[in-house]
Amino acid sequence: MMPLPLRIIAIILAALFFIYTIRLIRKNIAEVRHMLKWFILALVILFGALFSELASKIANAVGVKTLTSFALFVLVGMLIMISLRYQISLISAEKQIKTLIQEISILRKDMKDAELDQSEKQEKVNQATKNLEQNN
Amino acid sequence: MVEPKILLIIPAYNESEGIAQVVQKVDQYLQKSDYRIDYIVINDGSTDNEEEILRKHKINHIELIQNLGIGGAVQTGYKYALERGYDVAIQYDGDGQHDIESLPSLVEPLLCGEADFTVGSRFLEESNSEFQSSTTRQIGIRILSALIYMTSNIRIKDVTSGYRAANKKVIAQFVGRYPSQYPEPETYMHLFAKDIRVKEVGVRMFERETGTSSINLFKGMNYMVSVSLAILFSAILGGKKS
Repeated sequence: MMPLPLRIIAIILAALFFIYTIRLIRKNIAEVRHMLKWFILALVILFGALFSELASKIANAVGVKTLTSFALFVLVGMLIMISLRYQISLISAEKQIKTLIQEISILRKDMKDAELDQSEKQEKVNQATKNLEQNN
Repeated sequence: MVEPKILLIIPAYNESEGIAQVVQKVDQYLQKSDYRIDYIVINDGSTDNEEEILRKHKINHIELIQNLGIGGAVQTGYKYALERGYDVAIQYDGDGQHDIESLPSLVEPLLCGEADFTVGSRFLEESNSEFQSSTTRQIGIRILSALIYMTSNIRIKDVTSGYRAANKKVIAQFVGRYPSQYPEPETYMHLFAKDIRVKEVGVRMFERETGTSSINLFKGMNYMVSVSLAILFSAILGGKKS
């Protein structure tokens, strides 16, 4: 059984967590899909605090003596999973940025080459016009 | 028969001191060469005045808008080669370490269909390279070479050599996947996994003329651990070949 002060702290923390994530969505800093994993985490904390007897039974069933150890184990596990997901998104963003840099740089080169070609052609036209005028 | 189009990819980061001489040597070689070769310098977001030098000397180049590291820079060259339909792409260092005269040794096996990818080696008997790298580096290279041999049964002696040539098939593969850091040894595992025929040929290399190597003792240790793990993971995931 989880001690009462700890349950109260857990409920407050979960509530604050909810409020904070909802605020982020309302302010358009994050989207619901970004915050989903944090909602689930807050729900797990809330579940453990509100139904600590049931949570204790689950802890005992998996061979963990105290609910606090079980809660710590579950939360650390969830945080590791979330970190891994974040690293995957970061790697994917890094790859996208790399591709963008490469494509933009190649395009810039093409643009500069085209400008150079254009100015060379213009120069030739000007020179030819000048020659024609001189001949006339 | 249509003459094959060859592209020399020259990655350069903060090589303002020597890039003009390197390109000049390349230009001199291209004038007397029978091959149809173009070159492209990849300015990897240099912080010195390399860009200014490249523009001043009208050197054909791509200026990366951000530094991507050697892997990203070389891959940009491969992308450029693929988009413009080059038949062969050759990696050539912008620090003057590679001998342009050795280029036919790299290109011929690809043009004859003998190999899909060639590696310029300092450690083969046929190589006339006096420069062999420091003892510590040679030990590192031997360890990595042994690791690649153990996992793939294919011997590449100069695994860190950046003087390499690829045919169209490999160019397309590298556009899709090319490691961003310490790319050379790891790419062999990717190539072997796709049954690419790799041939090591003797080339000549020099000690770098300008700039300093980016690998110090700490980075060297990090390099060995990262590359060894990359080789092992690639071998496990790509399947051991006999």
